[in-house]
Amino acid sequence: MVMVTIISDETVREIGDDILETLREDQKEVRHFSLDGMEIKPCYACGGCAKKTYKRCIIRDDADQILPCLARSTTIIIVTPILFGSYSYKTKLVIDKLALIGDLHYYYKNGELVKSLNPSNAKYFVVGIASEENPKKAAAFQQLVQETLQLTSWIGKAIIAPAEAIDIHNIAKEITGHE
Amino acid sequence: MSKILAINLSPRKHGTSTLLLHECKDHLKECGHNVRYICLYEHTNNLQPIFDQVKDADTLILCGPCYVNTYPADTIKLLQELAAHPDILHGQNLYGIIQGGMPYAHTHKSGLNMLEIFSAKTDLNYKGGFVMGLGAMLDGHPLDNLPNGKKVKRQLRVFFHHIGCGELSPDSVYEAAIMKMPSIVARILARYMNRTIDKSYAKRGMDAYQPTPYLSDKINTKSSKPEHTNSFGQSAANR
Repeated sequence: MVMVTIISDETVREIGDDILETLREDQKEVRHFSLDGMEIKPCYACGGCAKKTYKRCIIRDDADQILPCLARSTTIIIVTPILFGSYSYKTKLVIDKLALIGDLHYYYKNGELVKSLNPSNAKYFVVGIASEENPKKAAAFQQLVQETLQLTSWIGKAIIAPAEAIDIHNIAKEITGHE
Repeated sequence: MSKILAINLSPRKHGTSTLLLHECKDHLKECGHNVRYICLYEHTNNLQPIFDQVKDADTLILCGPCYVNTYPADTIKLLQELAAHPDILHGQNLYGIIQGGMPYAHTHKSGLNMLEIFSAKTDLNYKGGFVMGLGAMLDGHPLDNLPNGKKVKRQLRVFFHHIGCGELSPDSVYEAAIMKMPSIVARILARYMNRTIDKSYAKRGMDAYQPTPYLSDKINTKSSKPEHTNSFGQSAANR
């Protein structure tokens, strides 16, 4: 089973469903969660998941729908507006909870300590919607995603798409071409 | 004497970010500066008290933990709200402090990149930041508990001095405090931390190698929430 999960903050452009439709052409099982209207509460570093409920967030919110899919996915696609060279607020609420599907332990890889997330061989793509052409923001966003790939031991890339000229087929090609 | 506002971006009241910000506040007060301190998470429902203090300050220090390579979501929300209220911002100096569990600076550096871009967008003067690794290991305890504690304290003093003088603080200040880690040390550290994690979970009757419980959750395909799937040929939201 190939399971692709798309999580999108559609504030700037609604492209999550378009990516879903395009990937479906490849006969993949694809799920899409639009963060619009979903309620994801912040991680308060309360330690509940470490001390009481073993890697399950003690806060009940819509992340309960997303996390079981993420934990089973071989490909994770995040769609986010680029804000100050980083993720949007809604997107970061989900990313802050990624550790819940992670391995608790540290590993040594390419000369550094790293972590590992479930599934350990997942592909991770972050589509950043850029409202303006700004090389500094683009470079910061690329660096952020690269660091997450290094930290999680996942494979993937950041794909920057200009808000005014989004090419869904090109995004899909970048994703499938990387698989 | 400048008016300095130290904003704690950590949801934890007694963690490493709080410790670092108190060290910073004490140092700057000793140098005669007027330093105020405010916690973001005490005001997430109403940011007005933070806005009022930001407007009144000449220098802002934003200090918080690193969650997956940058500051937590609520920091992004704060920056977004500040950018939407340009009357509050009047060219203040901005310094950042970010601390995270991994011992490397590059893991956490994106948090400072975000502050720099935010500053450029809002006409603030970004003057540099400080990245500290091994923050989770410290867990709010004194800096001397770090294997590189002496270096960190020394370089933090340099950083705090730059803040007090309103000077640019280059990356080399915090880079000098980052622990150089040969592979053998990294491997030993991983083993030590993994053993600590295993023991801590075992004490609570849990196996730290158990897979995530989310794998045993059923996937809700009949949700009324805005979930879409093609697994069953139609959008869940339309069912």
